This record gives sequence, structure tokens and C-alpha cells, in this order.
Amino acid sequence: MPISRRPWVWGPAFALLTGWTSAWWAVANLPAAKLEPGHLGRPEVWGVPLAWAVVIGILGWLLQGRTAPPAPSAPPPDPLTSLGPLVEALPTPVLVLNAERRIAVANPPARALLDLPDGPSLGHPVAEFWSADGTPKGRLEVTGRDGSKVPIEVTLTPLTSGPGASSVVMLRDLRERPPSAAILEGLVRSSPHPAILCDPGPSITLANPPAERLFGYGPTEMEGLELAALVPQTHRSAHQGHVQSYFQDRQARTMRAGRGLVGVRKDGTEVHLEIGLTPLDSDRGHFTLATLADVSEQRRTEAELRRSNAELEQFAYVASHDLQEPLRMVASFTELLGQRYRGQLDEKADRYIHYAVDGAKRMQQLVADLLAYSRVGSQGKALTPVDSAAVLARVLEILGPRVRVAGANITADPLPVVWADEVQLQQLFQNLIGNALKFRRDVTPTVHLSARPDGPRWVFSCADNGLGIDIQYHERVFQMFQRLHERGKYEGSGIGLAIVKRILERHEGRIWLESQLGVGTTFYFTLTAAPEVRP
Amino acid sequence: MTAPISVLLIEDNPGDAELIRDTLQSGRVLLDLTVIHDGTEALAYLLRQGPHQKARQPDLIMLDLNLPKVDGRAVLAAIKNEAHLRTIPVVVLTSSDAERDIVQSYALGANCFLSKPVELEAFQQVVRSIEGFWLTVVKLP
Repeated sequence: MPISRRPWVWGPAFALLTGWTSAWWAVANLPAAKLEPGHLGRPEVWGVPLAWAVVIGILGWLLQGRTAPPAPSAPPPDPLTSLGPLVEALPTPVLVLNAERRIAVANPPARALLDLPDGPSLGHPVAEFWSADGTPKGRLEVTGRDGSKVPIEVTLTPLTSGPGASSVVMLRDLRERPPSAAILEGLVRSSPHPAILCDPGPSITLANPPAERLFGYGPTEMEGLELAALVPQTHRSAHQGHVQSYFQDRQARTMRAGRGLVGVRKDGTEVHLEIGLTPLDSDRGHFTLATLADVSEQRRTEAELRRSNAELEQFAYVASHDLQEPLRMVASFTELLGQRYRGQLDEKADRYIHYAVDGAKRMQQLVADLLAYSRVGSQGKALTPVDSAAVLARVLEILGPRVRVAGANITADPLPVVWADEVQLQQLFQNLIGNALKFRRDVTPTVHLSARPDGPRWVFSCADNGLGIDIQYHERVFQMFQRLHERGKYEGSGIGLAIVKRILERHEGRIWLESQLGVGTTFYFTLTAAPEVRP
Repeated sequence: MTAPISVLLIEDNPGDAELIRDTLQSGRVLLDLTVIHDGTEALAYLLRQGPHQKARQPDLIMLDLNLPKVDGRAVLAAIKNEAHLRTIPVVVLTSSDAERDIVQSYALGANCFLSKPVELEAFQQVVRSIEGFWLTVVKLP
């Protein structure tokens, strides 16, 4: 304990010193007082200061006991500065705030996260760590170094108690950590499918062995190549545009061979490709992962299919004209014979003419029906959302005269919007309802249409009270030119349901029926649900 | 008495030619019908080449599209490209009812497009309606 802290020691010492000093001074300088040096030894000269010293000492001791603050054992450590070295050394972002909620210490990770200037960031206010009512926020967003919003988690720990106390703040960056580039490269290398990793150049950083095989390069030969080296000369300017638009929005995308996507091998031959692009961030910067598929074989098959479809269409055209023409001649001239020579030949001759004309006409009908059947495939339009209720309304308009003649009662529940070729859906309804009108019993014909949802599909039903179909024919009715009744009783060649089935096959739907002889038949068929028809 | 209306029928199917001739002749209009069976000869006739030096320019042409040698579309294009033939109405009468044939014919300048009906009665009706309209109602140049 230093001496300055003991007034009961230095008080009396001071009194003694001044008393004796003044006595000595008086002996030396005041001859009028008739004092001599020997007088200093007299008790009244040295005793009075001594007595004062004793009194002051006692007073000082007494006073010190009452008013002096208890002496602290050590100066209080400053938490703000004493934590500094520890905080600076932490690998995670940590702040120390002073009582005014300003930053006292921010370690380098915290400075990076909060975009604080380097060096001591003293005094930067961080009011955003608290909500308006004063409670600390757990999570918030700060503006990062590149100007983007960075979500962070904040944990506040008071360092001292009491209001306005300083605190330690631990921060956590909630952004996804970019994976390590080494991991990306490992994934690309191990993929069994061709894959290429590109930098924003765009140059090839890495091509896995399947990609090297696809483009005909040796091991690691592709690394460092500019991406343009894989694009045929004729496609390069277009490719440049695609690359630019890709790097502008950096969205994952798929490029299809349908867009004529062609790559070029090391030996100059071309390969049809389908490419998926995925932007990836890593600890070594932005990369793009291109996964590739060689669709050359598929393209050849498609071309083959297109050719064969075109041939089929040509066949249909040939059938419709070259086959019809001679038939028309047979029918026309036999008929003309009948017209011109009626009554001049006998009754038998008239009958023969009738058979010849009838046969030729049926043949014409078969050819026409076969054509109609083949056209379901060759002349189908793309599927669009179609309001089946509107299609039904049109069909009922077309069938109006037949409905009135039959005195039929046709009803329908609300019908949905489905993916369909509108013309073919109309033909489907027309054939089904037409059949219901044709194969009726001696009662008022009724037909009821409805639809119920079944997952992504609708199951339509068309129920009639007609003749009914024996269970043994439930499959056969859908085959071409299959008729269940003798010719002459009901017209038609038996193509209607075959066409309906073909239409549904094109729509990836199916058809089946439930029926009871003499009670009626219900046809069920499925179509894919579609969003509302755009106006 | 005015000269009979001259009709050029370009039709390779003799049966159809016969039916058309038969139907037209049973009508009331007096006409002079020439039948030619292929496109090359039809063009020679119209351009008065070879044996057709003295051919009379027809008032109406009835044209089938599917012809041997030069087909009907080419004949139609040639007629409509020739200044002195362009004014002659051309009735396309063909077994086709394909949309592309209809559109192409009108694009080439056909004055009307008719499909040959399959039924005899209907066929005769179409021929009679050509007679009734193009050879009776219409004022020809």
C-alpha cells in the first residue's frame, strides 16, 4: 500500500516538520525575541510541534476511517480492450460492442462479412441488431461487400450486467458455402455421362473421359480448350450469342437437339447433342457444368420416322386418288348403263347392275374409311387445351337432324378442358354419339355424357340405352371393319370405333366399355386434363 | 346465229371425258368441245404449235390437275403467264379435294376449283352446273 494513502502518517509528519522548522527559523532570525540556539532544546519549543503532530495524526486516522473509500485491490480491467487480442484471433466473425451499441472490436472475418473498413472499426453503430422494441434480433440481412444482401445469424452475449452494458456478438453467415472446386471436379470425373466444366472464358477447365471419347480427344487434351473449339465453324456466331445470353442470367437450362445443336469432334466430324447447363459457384469462382448427350442416333431414327411418315402420307394420297379413280369409273358407267338402258334389259340385268354398283360403292366407302383412319395419324394437329363442352355443343349441332329424327334425348354434365386435337375430339364425340343414335332400341334413345377427374386425367363416359354389346365383342368392336350386324340393317363399314380408338391412342388415352344386351352401353375414355383455354 | 361456244377439256381419263361430253351434249347449250389427254399437247394446242396451227382459241378451259407429262398445275401456270391466254376462264375439275391443291390452284390463277364427285348423279350435276353458270350466266370475253 503506498504511503500517500495514509493521512494519519503524513499529517503528523507534516505538522512536526513545519513546527520544528519554524522554531529553528525563529531562533536564527528573530533576535528581538531574545532566543538563543540553546532554547531549541527547551521542552516548550520542540514539544508544541510534537503535540500538534500527535493531535493531527489521531484526527487523520479517525477521519480516514470514516471518509476514505475502501481501497480497491487493483484497477478494474477494461473488458473492451482486454478482449481485443482474443477476438482478433478467432476464425469466425465476432464483434465486441460498447455500451452505446457501437463496435469496439471487430475481427477480420466480421469486417469482411459486414463490409467494414480494415483497421479498428471503432464507433460504427450496429442498431440493426435490435428490433424496435429493444429485443435482439436472431436473424437479419446485411449488405455484403459486393452489394448483395447477406443473411446472417446474430448471437448477443452481454459482457457485463446492467443497462447499456457492452456485449460480445457472434455472427454466422447463413449463405450456402460454395463447395470446393475439388469436389466439383471429382463429381465431373466420376460421372459415367459426358460432362464438361467450363470457366466464364468460356474455356474448358475439365472434361471427363466420356466427354473426351464423345469429342474424340485424348486424356486431358481438352483442358484449356476454348469452348468454341467444340462448335462447328458455321454455328460459331450463333453460339457466341447463346453464350452471352447464358452468362447474362446464369440460369440452368437445357439445349435440345431439336434446335439443331451440333458439336464438332477433334477429327472435324459433327455430332448431334443435347446439353444441360448448370451454373456452379465454388471456392475457386464461377463455373458452368455442361452435361452432354449424344443424340445422333436418335436424330437418325427421327429422320427415318419422318421419311416413313411422309411415305405413308404419299400412300394415302395415292390410295385416295389412284384407287378411287377406277372405282369411280366402274360405279359411274355401270350406273349410266342402268340409267340409259332401264327397261330395255330384263329384270335380272337391272339386278346385276345394282350389285355391281353397290359393290363398287362399298369399295369406295372402304377406301375412304381406310383413308380417314390413316389420316388420324398423318393429319393430326398438335394437342392444345380444348373445352370439351364446346366441342360437344358443336357435335350436337351437326347431329341435330339425326337427333330429331331419332327423337333422342342427349344430356351432359359439365365437361372439362383437356389436351386434345380439337378436330379429332369432335370426330370422337360424333362417332360415339352417332353410334348411340344408330344402334338404338324401340325406346326413346337417351345419351348421357359426363367426366370425373382421375389424377392428371379425366375419365369421360358416354352412356346410352341402346342395343348393348355382347361381352365377347367388347374388344372386337374397336377393330377396323368389324361389324356386329348384317349388312343392310345398319349402314357403315365398321370403322367408327376403330377411328375413336386410334384418336385416343394419339392422345395417350384409352377406351373401354361396359354393356348389357338390351339395356345399353357405356363407353369410357380418358384424356389428359389441361389448364383453362386461353381466350 | 353466233358461233358455238368453244370449250377445251384437258382430261387424261377417257371415262371422265366421256361422262363430261355425254352430260354436256345432253344440255341445251350449243358448244364445240375439244378433248386433249395430256398437258404437253394442251400447251401446244393453246400456243398453236405443231399440228395445232389452226386451233381455235377456246372460250373456256376445263382442266384436270393430274395429267401425264406436263401436269395440270404447270399447264395452269403457263396459261396464266401468257398474255393472250390469261383472260380465258379456267375451271379446275379434278378428283382431288386436298386443301393444298385448292389453295395452289387459286394462287396460280384458276377461276374456279371443283372436285369430281364420286356419285354419278352428283358428277353429272357438277358438269351441268358448269354449263349453267360458265356457259350460260357468265359473260365471257
